[in-house]
Amino acid sequence: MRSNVAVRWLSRLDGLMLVGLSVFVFNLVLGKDYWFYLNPKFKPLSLTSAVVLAGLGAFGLWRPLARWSWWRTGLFALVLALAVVSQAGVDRDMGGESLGQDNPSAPVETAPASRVKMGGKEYIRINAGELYDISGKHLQDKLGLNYAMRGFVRRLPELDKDQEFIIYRVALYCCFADTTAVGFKVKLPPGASLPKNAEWVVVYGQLTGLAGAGEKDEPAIPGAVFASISPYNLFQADRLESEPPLKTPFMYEWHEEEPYAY
Amino acid sequence: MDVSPDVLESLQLFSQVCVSIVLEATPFLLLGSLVSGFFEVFVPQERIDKFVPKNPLAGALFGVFLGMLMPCCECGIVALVRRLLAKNVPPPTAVAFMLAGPVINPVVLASTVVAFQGDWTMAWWRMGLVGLMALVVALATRRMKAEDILKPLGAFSSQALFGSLDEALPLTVLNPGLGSRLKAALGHSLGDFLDMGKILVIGAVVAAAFKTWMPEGLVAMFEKDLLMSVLAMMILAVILSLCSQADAFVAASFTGFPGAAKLAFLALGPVLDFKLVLMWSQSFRKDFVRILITLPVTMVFAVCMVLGAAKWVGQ
Repeated sequence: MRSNVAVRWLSRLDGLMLVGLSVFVFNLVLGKDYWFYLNPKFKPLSLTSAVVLAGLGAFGLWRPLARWSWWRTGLFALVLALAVVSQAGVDRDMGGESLGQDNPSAPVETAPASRVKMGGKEYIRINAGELYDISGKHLQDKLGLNYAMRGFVRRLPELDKDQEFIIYRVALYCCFADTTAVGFKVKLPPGASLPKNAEWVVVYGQLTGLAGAGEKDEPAIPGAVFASISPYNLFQADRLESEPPLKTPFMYEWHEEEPYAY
Repeated sequence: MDVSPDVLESLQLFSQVCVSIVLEATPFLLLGSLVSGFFEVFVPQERIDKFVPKNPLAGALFGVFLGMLMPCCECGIVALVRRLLAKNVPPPTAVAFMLAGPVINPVVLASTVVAFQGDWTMAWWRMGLVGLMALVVALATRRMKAEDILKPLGAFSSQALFGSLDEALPLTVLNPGLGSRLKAALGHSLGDFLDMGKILVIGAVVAAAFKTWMPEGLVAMFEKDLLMSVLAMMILAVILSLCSQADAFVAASFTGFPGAAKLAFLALGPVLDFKLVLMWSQSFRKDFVRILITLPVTMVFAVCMVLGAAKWVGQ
């Protein structure tokens, strides 16, 4: 049986774990990787929790609990170990391609104008989540407009033959665990060449009714809980352009009116 | 030893999901632990006796109302509820607060409405069903006392949960100064956070493993049949352990599932999930944990099947 003095010293490990966790959270909040884990709107909350964790950890070092269990300390150590593994993945961008996370060193984007002219036509810039909302609500006054939407490409053999592919964006609501990919089937004009799988593109065009509406054909996206393709509309593209992957490719916000979050 | 890139990639994805769940829940767990610790030391028994209704139904309704005033995530609320029970708050009030608090509040209402594209139907059904569950489970505890619900203090002398409650006992007797009371409150908070935090980690590991390695299309296999879809979504809610503020967006993404199955996911998830069962098992007696599992599961299943068969919830 351990002596009280030994237990007190071992209990200090718990305090140490909390200090370690707070250092990790501080590092995330003040660094550039926060959005890989949580919606940036939670930064103030995370910063506050880092301060409280540091305080509670320091208290645990100063006045350790009179009880200790190795598996409790072990589980907190596991979190820190997983944080290291995860950060290694984030830093090396492993697994990022499918979520469009493949360019962490890209410059920070400035908000583009809400409309863009291409080939004599004016297009409204919109993100896939916002357009998905318009499609889902069947907003007739907005369904027929010209839109420019960006995202990453998913190619499927059964779509290739029809000059079609899927364009996705991943929505992150609270944390990475609740990410869902939303997107549209895109049909290219005759003669246009299909983009590469996982490539980032901007498509310019309009929504049209989808034959076989309601039927689903949704390939899984690693990392996203589930993937949803609009069951009602297909995006009929007038043109397509490649663009560099976004620095923060997740969608965090949705607007109901122009200017859209894009 | 060489690790294939696929294995490494999935391990890193697993780590990222797991860490994100822990980071998301940590502020709420900290809040719950701090409130719990300070409540233990600074709120006298007499004040509780004065404010909490003695009638079971009134007490349960008061608990639901308390949940609206103090919205708290399901992870953080367990630590506080065991303190409430230990301070002789009647079980119907504490239990109703524990079950309703994470769902029946403006934040979750708003996120559900937004996720379902402005349609209030799902949000109202969700609030109604969770409120009903909270009341029924709360009333099922009307003849119970705190000691029928809480695990005995003596069983945890060396390593577990109520060590900090043990330490609290002399404080009310000795009535020490503010400095000592602050130290005691922080000690309770630290103990609560560590005890609940370890359960959160286990829940996060399970949810992350499921999310990372779940076979593609597994859940979608069940969407066409009402019975199977409701059951699949209930199981998914328990395993995924999502935060009640975010789960509506995930539910809405199941476009092929009937509305009743989505409601089952939304009503059950915040009330019963894997990490909650572990937290309850640490804090509460087996009989009470059994009630906390069986009543919500039965009610959600029955109500959602009826609503689904009658097509009252829509898509």
